[in-house]
Amino acid sequence: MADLAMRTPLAGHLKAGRHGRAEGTPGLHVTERGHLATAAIALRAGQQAALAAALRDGFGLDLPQRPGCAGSGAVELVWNGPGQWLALDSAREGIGRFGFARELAARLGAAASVTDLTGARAVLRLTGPAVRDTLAKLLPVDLHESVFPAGAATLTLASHIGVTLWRPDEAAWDIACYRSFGESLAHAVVEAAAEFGCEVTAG
Amino acid sequence: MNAPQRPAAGPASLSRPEAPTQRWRLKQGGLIDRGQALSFRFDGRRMTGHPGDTLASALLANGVHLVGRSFKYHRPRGILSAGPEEPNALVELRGGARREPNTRATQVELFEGLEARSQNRWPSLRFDLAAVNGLAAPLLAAGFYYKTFMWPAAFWEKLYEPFIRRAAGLGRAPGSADPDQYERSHLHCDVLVVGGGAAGLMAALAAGRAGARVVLLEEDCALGGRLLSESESVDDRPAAEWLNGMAAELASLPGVRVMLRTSAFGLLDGGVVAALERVSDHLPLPPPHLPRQRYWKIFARRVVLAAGAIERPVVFGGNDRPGVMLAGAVRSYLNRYAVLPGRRAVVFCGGDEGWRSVADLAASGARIEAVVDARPEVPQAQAQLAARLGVRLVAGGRVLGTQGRSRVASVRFADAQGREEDVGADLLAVSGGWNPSLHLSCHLGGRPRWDERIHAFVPGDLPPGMGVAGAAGGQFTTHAALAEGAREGVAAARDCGFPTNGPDIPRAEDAPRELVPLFHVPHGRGKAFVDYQHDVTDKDVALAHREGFRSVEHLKRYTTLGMATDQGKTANVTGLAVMANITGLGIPGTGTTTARPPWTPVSIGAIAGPHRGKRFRPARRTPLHDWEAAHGASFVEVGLWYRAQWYARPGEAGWRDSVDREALAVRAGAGVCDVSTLGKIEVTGPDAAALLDLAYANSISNLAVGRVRYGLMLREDGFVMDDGTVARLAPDRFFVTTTTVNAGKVMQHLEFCHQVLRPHLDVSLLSVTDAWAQVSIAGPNARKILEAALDPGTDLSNAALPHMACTEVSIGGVPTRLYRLSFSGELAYELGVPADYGEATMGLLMERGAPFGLTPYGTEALGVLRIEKGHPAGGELNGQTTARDLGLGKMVSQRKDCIGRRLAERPALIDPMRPVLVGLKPADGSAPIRAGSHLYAPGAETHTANGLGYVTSACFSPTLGHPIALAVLADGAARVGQRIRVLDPVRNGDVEAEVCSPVFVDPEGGRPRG
Repeated sequence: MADLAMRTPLAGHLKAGRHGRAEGTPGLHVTERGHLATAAIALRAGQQAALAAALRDGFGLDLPQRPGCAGSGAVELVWNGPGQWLALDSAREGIGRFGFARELAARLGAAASVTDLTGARAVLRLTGPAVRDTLAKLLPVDLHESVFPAGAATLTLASHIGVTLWRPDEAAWDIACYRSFGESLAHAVVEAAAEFGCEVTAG
Repeated sequence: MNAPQRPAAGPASLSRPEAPTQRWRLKQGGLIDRGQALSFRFDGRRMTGHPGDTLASALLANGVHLVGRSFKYHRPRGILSAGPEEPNALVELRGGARREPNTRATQVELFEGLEARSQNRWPSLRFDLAAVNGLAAPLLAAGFYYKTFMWPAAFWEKLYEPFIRRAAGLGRAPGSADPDQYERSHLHCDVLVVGGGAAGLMAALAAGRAGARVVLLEEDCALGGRLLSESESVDDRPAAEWLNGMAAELASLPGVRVMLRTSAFGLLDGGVVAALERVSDHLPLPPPHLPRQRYWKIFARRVVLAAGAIERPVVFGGNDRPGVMLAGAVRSYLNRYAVLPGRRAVVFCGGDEGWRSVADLAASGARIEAVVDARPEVPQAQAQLAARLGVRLVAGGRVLGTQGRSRVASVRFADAQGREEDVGADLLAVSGGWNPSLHLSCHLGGRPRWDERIHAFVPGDLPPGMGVAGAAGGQFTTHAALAEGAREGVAAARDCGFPTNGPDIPRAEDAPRELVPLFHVPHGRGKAFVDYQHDVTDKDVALAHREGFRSVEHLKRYTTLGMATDQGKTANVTGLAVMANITGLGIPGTGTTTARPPWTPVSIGAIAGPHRGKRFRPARRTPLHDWEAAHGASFVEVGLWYRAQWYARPGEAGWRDSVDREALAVRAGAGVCDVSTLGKIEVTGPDAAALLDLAYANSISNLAVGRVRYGLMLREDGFVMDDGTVARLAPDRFFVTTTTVNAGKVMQHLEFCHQVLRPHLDVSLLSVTDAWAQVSIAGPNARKILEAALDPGTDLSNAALPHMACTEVSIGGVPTRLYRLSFSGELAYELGVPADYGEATMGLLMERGAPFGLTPYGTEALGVLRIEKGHPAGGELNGQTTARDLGLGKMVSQRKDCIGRRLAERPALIDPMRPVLVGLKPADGSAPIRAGSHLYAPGAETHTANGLGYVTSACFSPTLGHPIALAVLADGAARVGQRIRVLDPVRNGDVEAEVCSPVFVDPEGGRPRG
């Protein structure tokens, strides 16, 4: 059996090191979340309660009923439209990731359709004091603490690219787009952060 | 102080010695940093100024009043204003690729090394040969575009257009790409305050103290508005001191953001405010990693418009001569910039405002030769001021004209009795009243209202969420500005949920502003300008009236009044007043001027932001992109995607060599092509089949699990929308593919079908295009290659995986989908690998496929293979073809309904004479046939009515060794074997072809089933 090397969506498109302003501490840290097991969950008719219960029982997750995200251990849920969520698992590796969607499907049963999206999204994790000012250059959403606190999520356009943006916790901002747009989004983020200084770390 | 000396007049020349600089700078006062000198050049002449200067104030400090030449008549022009309304002092700034025409010298902050040039003059500013246009003036009157240059038509390109282009050239665009960066950004706040003068500051303070998120925009480089230019006190302190305190408190409020050098230039749909921040325009070069300008979109719950007002000039003879200046601008130069704009001044006004300049000029040491006040009765306070200063007061007077060559030397006026008199003067300060800067209130359709009290327009019905404070609403005293600003700030904050009583109102001047209408002095001496920048005179307005262009909108278009880069900030209301005087209907009865965005010129660079060149739009790359690039691929843009078009090899002379080789390799052995860009949609749920039955013309619900079907989608009107494949992975799960270009459209269409047409269906749609690296492996050796590459134990036999079947396999343990389907007409499979493993899989396929001749092929060879096979694609699915036209009529199921089925049965769409898909091959066996060519019966006259169809796709067939084409041809089936004329009049193509079956290769279709 062949041994296939995996390539993350942004491999080769996100150069590690300091970009833009070189002096002082960087305003933005960027790293790729390139090894996530990813699956889409689509609610089936009338199964809202069953789905929420299955996710709570199976993964300890509170299903966000409106734009938002939830996490428990290595598993995260991100609202991705009415009746749709992205499920992420950062604990699995390599081809083991393809078991995530299978496990989800088994646990959710008839409550939802589950589709494996591993590798289908380019995901960037942004941290640092200039996250808001950087993102303001890319997307038209109000990111003020009073409007977009930790646990918030939104679907929007960033630099003409459809994205999902969410805040898993106080410090971290995750932004995901279709894999094919990854290079363009990564370029736009690093370019927008140039005035603040941007440190890219290998994911 | 010493009276400044006027520099000797004389022609400018390159050998001119450098003049001693800043002789017109006042010895004290002003908001400039005298401790630092800045050197700059104007038309090559070196001068100095100070930080805090604008280019205009620095020029005036150096005695330079002649700054440019006018648009049509090349008349000498100077500095009229001290702000963004400037119509005359337009200069070219910087040089090389950064050269920027038409910058307003009154807004250009002085920096060390600044280079500026006057515009529109030849050979020099002082001696302009084109000033002869002034003699040809009758030819250039209003509407000259439509009249003078109409005949003869042949003269247009050779004579008239070059003349107009040269004459109209205000400045020159740079010849090379802009080297600077531009940005776009977004802001969100509760209260947006437009304008940082007395009113805006109080509004921001009130809302900020209440806890609201506040953004304050100020176009200038400093907060204060008119307070920077007036000798006033606020709360018994000098205004500058009060301003410092305000700036400090606003900076200390965490929710308040003050943005200087930022113009709100438009109120856009949804109440979004567009603003331009001049991040680096005041610097020689943008600092590293900073843009020159930033285009902000601001989302505010409430807007307080505190944009101030613009003083009106008066229309009289010679009102454009350098030295004629707005009275408020005179005070700006005196008080803010410490520059004396003239030594001997005449003040011409219609009310109390002009008298403030009398007092300030006298305090600065200028001699006031006369005050010509249009009011027959001048209030006592002003009369006493005149007496105290020993100034001659001409009550009920009017200025008739000015004399002087390139600057005012004397002013002619008439007194109330009509007695005319000339008085020597080098400065004529003019005040016709003030026009509120209500522009933003008009951008969403609001109409201004005429206010008889101030003889000006004030904002009418306001857009939702907007309040107006201070001079922008027609309240001109400082006290009113402070009070209204606080009031509007409090109201805005309350509306956003931040109740507050607001700050105390500081003490400030509250003197009455009496004014009589003073717009126009008819029958003066010389040309009287209404619109300086576009050289529109009172006579042009009268001409427009005589010729019937009486509506304001017609007046504007006929005379071009208000259509220059200043958008008529000093011209529109006076132009209307001149017209109203002729119509006799009064201003409200004559019309209303309104405003459209942008308030101020905005560079295209700022609007584009970072989206230019290759970054004009985002790019989509497949997971195999880098592999393809490394293997010699040339890429073609398909929508946003980059697709490998062909892979050139050493020794190949051109693209055709590569494409022919790739296509032949597929037919002879095997090829691999990246089809990851095809749209892929996973349709899941118990009702998935029902939704697909509605959307597809053919039946989907009877597709067995593990099977694939070609699917055809119709539009509502019965024409073909898209084609693709449908694979059934489970009873409640389908995998649908679309063409690359229609992927988004099909997704939308399916969502529409679900959400609007069949909301009760329990089904969901998910784009999985980016989840899969998908390749087509085609050719007689395809199965052998897959058997060598897939994990052991995979059965690919015809029995296990027949044509149009699909299954799950694995490569290196990676779960992979295999679909047996063919676009090329060969034995072929599509392999879908999770995107992370696409590149490695490609490497493995090439390694295991090498013994079988596996060759990567691009979209061109893909196209050749499908044309040889007669498969419809983009050229055939062109929105004008039906399923029947393409020979796919039998696919439209008669056992169920589908979108488009009924309308596809319209008589015109089932007319047997409709063009249907056929093949063409050149009658002589070699002449190329081009796509787009029209088809005629041989010998028929070639006009539209005789057209029989057109060529949809064409290529050279390396398999057959001659050109082939697909076409739609009327009564095509009956014409097989006949000759047809293929006419391409655009590219001079005219060949004869033989009509044949569209399937050129393997017509029995045995190969894909092999």
